Amino acid sequence: MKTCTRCGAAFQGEGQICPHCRRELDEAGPGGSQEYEASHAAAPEGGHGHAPSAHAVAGRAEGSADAPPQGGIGETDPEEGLTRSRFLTNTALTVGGAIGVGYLALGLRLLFPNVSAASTPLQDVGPVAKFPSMSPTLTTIIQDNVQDGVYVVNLSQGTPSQNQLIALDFHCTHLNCPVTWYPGVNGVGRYICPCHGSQFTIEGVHVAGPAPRPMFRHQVVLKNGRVLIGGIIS
Amino acid sequence: MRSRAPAPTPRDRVLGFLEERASLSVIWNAMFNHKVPGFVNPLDYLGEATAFVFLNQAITGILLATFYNASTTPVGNATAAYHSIQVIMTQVPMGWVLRGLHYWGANAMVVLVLCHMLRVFYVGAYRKPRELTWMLGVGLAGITILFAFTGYLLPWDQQAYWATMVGTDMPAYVPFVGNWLLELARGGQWLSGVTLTRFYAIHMLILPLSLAGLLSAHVALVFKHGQSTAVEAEEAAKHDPVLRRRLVNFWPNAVAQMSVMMLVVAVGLITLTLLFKAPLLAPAQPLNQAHYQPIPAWYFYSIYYVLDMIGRAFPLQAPILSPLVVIGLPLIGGVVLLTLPWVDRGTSPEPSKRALIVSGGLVGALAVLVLTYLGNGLATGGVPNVVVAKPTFAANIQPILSAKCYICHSGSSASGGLDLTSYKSAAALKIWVPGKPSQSLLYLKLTGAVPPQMPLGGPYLPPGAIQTIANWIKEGAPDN
Repeated sequence: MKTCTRCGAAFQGEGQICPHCRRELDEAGPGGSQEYEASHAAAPEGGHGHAPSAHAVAGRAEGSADAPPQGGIGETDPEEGLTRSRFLTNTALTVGGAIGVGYLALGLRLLFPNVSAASTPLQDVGPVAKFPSMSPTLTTIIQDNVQDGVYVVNLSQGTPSQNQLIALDFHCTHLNCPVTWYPGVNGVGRYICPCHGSQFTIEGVHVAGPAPRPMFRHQVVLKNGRVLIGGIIS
Repeated sequence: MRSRAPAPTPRDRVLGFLEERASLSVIWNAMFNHKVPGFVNPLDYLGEATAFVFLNQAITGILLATFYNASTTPVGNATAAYHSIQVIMTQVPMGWVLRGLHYWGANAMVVLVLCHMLRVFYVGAYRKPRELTWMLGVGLAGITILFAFTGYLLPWDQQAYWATMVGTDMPAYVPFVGNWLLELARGGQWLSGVTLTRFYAIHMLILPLSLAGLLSAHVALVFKHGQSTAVEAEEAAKHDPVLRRRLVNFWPNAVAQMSVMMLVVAVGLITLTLLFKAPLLAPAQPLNQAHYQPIPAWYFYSIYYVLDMIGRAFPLQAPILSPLVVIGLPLIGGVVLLTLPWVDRGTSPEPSKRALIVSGGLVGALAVLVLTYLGNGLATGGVPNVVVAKPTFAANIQPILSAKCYICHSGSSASGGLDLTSYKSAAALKIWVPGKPSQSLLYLKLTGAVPPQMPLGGPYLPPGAIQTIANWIKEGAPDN
C-alpha cells in the first residue's frame, strides 16, 4: 500500500504514477502531501466551524491570478514546477477571464442606448378647426406601433396660431396612469388622474396630488391648416 | 449498493454499472443518508413547497410557451398576444387548466416564499452558519417578484398593460439613472411591442436561469448545514437516548413527509384552477377609452395603499414623499433582509430570547398584511358591491358618502359648495328628490348619466352601492 504524495489517495502497486490523480509521485515521500492535508482539513464529514489553517489559506491565495510570483507553494516546491504551474494557472485564468469579459461587454453594449425605437416622426392629427377654443381634445399618435393619447389644446379664443397650440401627453407624470380632462371642475376644468388624484390645469401645470412635474409636452406644428404632433419635448 | 450475490439481478447490474462510472452512491449518501427527527413541523417544509411550485411553473410555463405569441400585432380589437391567450383558454386541449395552474402557481409562489421567509426568520435560521443560505433566499424572493411582475404583462389585457405602465415608471424616480432604467424596462418612452418582447425574454430565459442557479446553491447549502431545527434536534439527541430513538433516516421518512406537503400544494393548485378560472380582462386599450382604473397585483397592494394615504394626508408634500416610498421602501426592505444575519448575531434558537428582533419582524409582517388588506379595499373601490333593499342613512348611505365623497365634498370649502357631511347639509342642496332616483342629481352623478361621473376621475362606485343609494331615495330618502 502506498500513499500518493500529491493527492493523498492510497493505492496498491509499485508504480510512481498515482492511479487516482494520475500525477507522478513526489520524491520527498509522504511528507510532501502536507499541503493537501492542511487544505482539506477544513472540509471533512459535513461539519462546520473548522477554521482553515493558515497554510491552507496561503495555498488558496496561490491560485489567484494577481498574486505575487513568490510565496505560497513556492516555498515547498522551489523548482521548475512552481513556474510551470503558475504559468498554467495564469494562462487558464487569463483566457477564461478574457472570454468572459468579451461576452459581458457584448451584453453591456446592448444597454447603451437601451431603446430600439427611432424618434417619433410628426403625425397629422387633423385640421386645426377640429380643436375648439379652450377645450382639450384627445388625439392619437403612434409610437413604436402602440397608440399614445395626446391632448391637443387650442389656447386662443378662435383659430390658433402655432404658439397658441399645445399638445400634452395623457400619461400622468406621477406613475403614468391615463389622465382625463374634466371641463367642469372648479369652473375652469382640470386633467385628473384616476390613480392618485393628481390634477393639472388646461396647460398641464400641476396643481394637486403627488405628480412631481407638469404634464409632458409633445412637439406640435401647425402646417397648411393642419396640426402635426411629434415626440415629447419637455 | 453493489451486490455480492452470485446471480446479480438486472436491477443490480444497472445500479452497478452506474455506480462504477458515476459514483451515484456518493451523491445519494450526501443528500439522503442522514438522520433527522421523526416529526418535523410542516412549516419547515415551506421551502420544499416553494421549490415544488417553481417546478410547476417551469413545466406549465414551457407548455404554455408552445402556444403563446409574444406580439402586439393587431388581431381584431386585440393583439396577437391577447389572442393567443384566448386560444389557450378556449381551444387548446386542457389549455385553461395549464394556464390556471400557472396563474395560481404564480400567486402561490409569492405567498409560499413569504411564508418560508417568515418561518426561517422566526426560528432564527438565517444566523451563522446559514448567512449565505439566507442571502441567496432573499435573492430568490426578489427573482420571484420579478417573475410575477414580468409574467403579469404577457396577456396584454387592460390589467396587464396599465399595471405594467405604472410599475415600469417607478424606477424612473431613482436618482440619476432613473430614466435609463425606465427605458431599459420599456424599450422606449411608453409600453410597446418592444416591452413585451423584453419582458418575455426576461420571464422565460433570464429569470429561470438565474433562479435555477441561485436555487441550486441555496439547496446545496441546506444539505451542507442541515435544516436548523433538525440539527438542533440531533444535537439534543446526542445526550438523550429517548430523543435518539426518535431519529429516523432522511430517506424515506422525511422525503415521504415532503411528498405529503407537495400533495397538499398540488391539490390546492388544482382546486383553485378548477374553481376559479385564470382571469383575462378586456384587451389592453392604450388610449383607455373605457376609463379603466389601473390597480396593481395584490402583492403590491401595501405600497399602493401607502401611496394613496400619502396623497390624502400630505397633499402638498406628496410629490416629494411619493418617490421616497416608491424607491425607499423596497430598498430599505432589501437592505434590512440582507443584513439581518449581521444585525442578529445571537446563537439561541429560542424565539423568546430574541424578543426584540422577532417582535420587530412580526410587527413589520403584520403591517404589510394590514396594508395589503386596506389596499385591497382601495383597489375594489373601498365600498362593497352589495345591494341593500331597505337601507338606512346612518347604516348604509353615510358610510358610502364618507368613504367616497367627503374627500372633496366636506366643510366650508367643499367642491361645488356641496357639503355632504351630514344629512342636513346634504338635504339642503336638493341633490335628491325623495322617491325619484331618476330625478336625483346624486344618483345621476354616480351613474354618470349627468357628466362628469362621480367620484371624479374614478374609481366609481360598484353597481351594488349605487343601487343601494337608489333604493334609499325610492324609500323617500329618510334621515334614519
